[in-house]
Amino acid sequence: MLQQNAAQQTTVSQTQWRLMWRQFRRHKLALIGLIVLVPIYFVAAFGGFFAPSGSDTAHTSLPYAPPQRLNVSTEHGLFVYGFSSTRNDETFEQTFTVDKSKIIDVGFFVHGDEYKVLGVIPSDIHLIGPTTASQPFFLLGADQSGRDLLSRLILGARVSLSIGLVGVFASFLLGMLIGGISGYLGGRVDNAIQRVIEFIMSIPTLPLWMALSAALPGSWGPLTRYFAITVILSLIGWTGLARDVRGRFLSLREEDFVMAARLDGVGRGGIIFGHMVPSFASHIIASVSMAVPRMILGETSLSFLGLGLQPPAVSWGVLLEGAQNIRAVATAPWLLTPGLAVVVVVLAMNFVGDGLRDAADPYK
Amino acid sequence: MLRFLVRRLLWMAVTLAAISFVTFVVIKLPPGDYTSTVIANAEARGQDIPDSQIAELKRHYGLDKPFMVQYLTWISGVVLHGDLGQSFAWNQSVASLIGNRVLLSMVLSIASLLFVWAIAFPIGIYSALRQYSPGDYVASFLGFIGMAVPEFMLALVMMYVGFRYFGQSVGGLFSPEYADAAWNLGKLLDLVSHLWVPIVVVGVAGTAGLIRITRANLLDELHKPYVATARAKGLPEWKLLLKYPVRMSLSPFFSTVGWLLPGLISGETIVSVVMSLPTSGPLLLGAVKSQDMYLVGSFVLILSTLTVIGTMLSDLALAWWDPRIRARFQKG
Amino acid sequence: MALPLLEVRDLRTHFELEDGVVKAVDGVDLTVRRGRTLAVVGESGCGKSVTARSILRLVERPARIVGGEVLLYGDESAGDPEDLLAANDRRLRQVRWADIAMVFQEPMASLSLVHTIGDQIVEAIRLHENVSKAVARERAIEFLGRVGIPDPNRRVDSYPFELSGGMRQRAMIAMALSCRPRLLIADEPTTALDVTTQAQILDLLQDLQEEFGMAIMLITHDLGVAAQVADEVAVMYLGEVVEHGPATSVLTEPKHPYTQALVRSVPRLGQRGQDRLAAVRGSVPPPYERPSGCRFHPRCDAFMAGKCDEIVPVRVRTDDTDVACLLYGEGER
Repeated sequence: MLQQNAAQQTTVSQTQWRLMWRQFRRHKLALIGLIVLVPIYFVAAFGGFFAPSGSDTAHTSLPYAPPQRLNVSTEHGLFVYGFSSTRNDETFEQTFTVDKSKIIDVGFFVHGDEYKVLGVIPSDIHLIGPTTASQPFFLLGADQSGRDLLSRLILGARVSLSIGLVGVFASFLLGMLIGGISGYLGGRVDNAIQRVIEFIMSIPTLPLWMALSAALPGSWGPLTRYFAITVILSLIGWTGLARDVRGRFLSLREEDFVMAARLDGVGRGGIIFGHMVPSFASHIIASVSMAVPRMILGETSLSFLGLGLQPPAVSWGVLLEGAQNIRAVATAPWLLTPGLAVVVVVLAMNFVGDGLRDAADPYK
Repeated sequence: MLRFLVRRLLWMAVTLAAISFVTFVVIKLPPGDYTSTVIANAEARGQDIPDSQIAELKRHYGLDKPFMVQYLTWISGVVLHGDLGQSFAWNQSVASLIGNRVLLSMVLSIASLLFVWAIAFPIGIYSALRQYSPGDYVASFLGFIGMAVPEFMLALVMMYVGFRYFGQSVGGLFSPEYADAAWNLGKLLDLVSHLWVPIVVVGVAGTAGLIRITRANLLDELHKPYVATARAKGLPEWKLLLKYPVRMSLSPFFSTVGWLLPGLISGETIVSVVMSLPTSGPLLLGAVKSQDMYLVGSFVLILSTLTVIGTMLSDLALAWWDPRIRARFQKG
Repeated sequence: MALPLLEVRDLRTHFELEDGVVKAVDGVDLTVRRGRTLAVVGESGCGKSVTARSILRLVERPARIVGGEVLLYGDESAGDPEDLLAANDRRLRQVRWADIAMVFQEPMASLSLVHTIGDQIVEAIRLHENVSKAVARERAIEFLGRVGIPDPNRRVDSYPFELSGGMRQRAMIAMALSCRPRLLIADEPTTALDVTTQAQILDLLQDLQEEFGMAIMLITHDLGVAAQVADEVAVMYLGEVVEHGPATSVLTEPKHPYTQALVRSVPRLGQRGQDRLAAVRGSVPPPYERPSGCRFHPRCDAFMAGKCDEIVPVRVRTDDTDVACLLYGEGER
């Protein structure tokens, strides 16, 4: 009997997920979003390999060097031209011109800066790069210290993309727990928790984030700081999710199947995790997916203000901090490319979240 | 209604007390205090400050007293005398430092709120009434983009465009000749002519969100039976849409203030830093970085207070707009 | 027999969905006579409500009226009826409420919750008659009193959520009558109400019919309700009218096997314990799969193989009722 029940349940939930997937596939934008995100996360995970150089490899003589174009010729194969720089004697401004006499050979799977694959296996193979590692190779231009922006963009993706996931996981735990308690118990506990949530929501987030992150000791290492920032983001981000979970619990408490389970003598835990949670899991996934981009934007904003991660750690926000000075942006507009990356990723995530939310209501 | 008002005001007072306490705790979180900054600065200059002088500093700023005493001193000063304390770094009273800046922040936030409403509601209503039309797709797509672009990014791009193609700086709120002038009509006009860029920048994300909410709400209402009733009565289509479903879907017009305002203030803070506007943003950032605790606390307290007041006003407006909510309030 | 007021001929309303076309109403013929009550009965999903809405062209995307005629007759002296499906928007809006008014199933949902009842009634009156606000308000109060709402002077300024379900439905009826329509379409007006209130509302409808002399088209799934108020009954199955005739004949001597099954499924007072209440066998087939031949044949007790599943029955007059069943007449392949 029990087994039969369980078997039935798995077929039911299987069809539910299949229905969701069918519905999701219909959402063209969501599908596009997913297709964009998967390779981006893949590149971020193997950043060391895809980035032509390390994040701190600097060509100090080439600050703000413009992007180089990849050329192909029968004579040299794949190559980029080098730079020659002239300094204006009056303003001391450096200008770069493409020097066609300097040819920098470019190859695939070249040896370059050392890194560790997934933080474990040491390697120095890069997908693409100059055959002589010391040569400048700036497909997206260089920053103020002559570091390759493309490499920093790829290496910074790891932090920017993972902080959303980790942060959402933390707020997910908090939101599920507190929202669940609030919705399941109801009454006074619910009332108190709702007041606290309202309170947190009424504080403008950014000033509070700023205040909290300023409280982090400057002596903390990049990893500690990373987790601290995540905690700060999720400390404020859990409220929306908690409200969602609570709403679901409240409406489900009155549902017949929950009542039936209760009359059947199923325990509290059994009701919550065996009956209630599965029935709104899809909704929760959808609202979680909407929270990820918000976290990414939060980290970017904080780091941009100089309150999030600190160099030498790289994240897209940290890279954008270099673009705060409008004169720098005017001479080197490519400094804004990390911003473009943020927009693309957040846009794709919003599409996916939208598709998930639609798919979570397959019967609508 | 009066009972509701009193209850609402009481609840607001509790919220504000909680906010002030949380702010103070947060400010006290960092190890060390303002004296650490002084020491660090001195060391950076290669000087050495004797311990006696540090103790003197601590006593001067009341940093040697227990936590609760410091908090109570501060908050009673705020409530009783409007005294927000001293800024360590500026050696001025906080009130004099931030008065004008908070005012400008508020002007900017409220102007953005009006901008958001003015843009989002017509577009959201249009999108819902013409669901799946090209206009709806364009609005939805722009909405998605608006939510994906961080405010500071938009500010940077606008400044870059202004700098590069129009050869002028779009930062700041005043032209140089008015920056230090007393208030007059010319200065006001000058402010308005500068204000629209930050208003647009700050408002974009909120606009995008509100378009989606309005559209979804109206779509929910459009097919309710009471709309069919109105149609059966023989009302012309546009008239019945405006009178019934659109009116119902406009409740968020008021209830959104609660979440829109904190977001706008956040956006305003970061945009002001980028565009170096003389609002609270840049000063707050500086204060946060130097752990100028009274200054930070005052900012968070004031911005939150204004948000809470704004939210309460929107609750009242909602009760005025929606008889169901009014009835619920009258009962309990 | 009274003259016809409204004739529905071969009405077809289809839902054009992504996965195919659902023919919710597929060739409905009905007649409502002046001052009389027609009850349209059938199981849920048979197309009763869609038929009612199609008459005033209230169906919305994805539903679309794809064919047929809805003929509204003028005064007795007037000539040819006009086809509402062919009327322009302006004319249609004039007919709505002034000639044909509607009462819906959910009294809570079919009144706007943020407008007072008086406001909604006054709006209807002033839309069709050139009267001042004060006059319209007086009439609203008068009608509210007439439908049995206590203290109408005060209730006129109430919001619907401040009234009970029964009172709300009364207010809705007052609104429907406020322009003295010739036909009142009531779509399951009592389904959402408790039994006592149900009876009161039905009584009220009958009283009002006597007083105002209007015709009523009552949509219901409840044969008991139909028996209580109807002069004539039309039985619908899968988007078609299978039997249409005087209430006494249809409900006491049903001809169509479907009607017979429906009648058998209603409990009667004094029924003997051993006669088990019969339900209609099987259930309504899925919307995209309409059975061939007679649509009722998969559930029919009198199913004739090779005939019912191939031949589409045509409505024929048998005694005083029209029946679409091969037991009574021929059909077309």
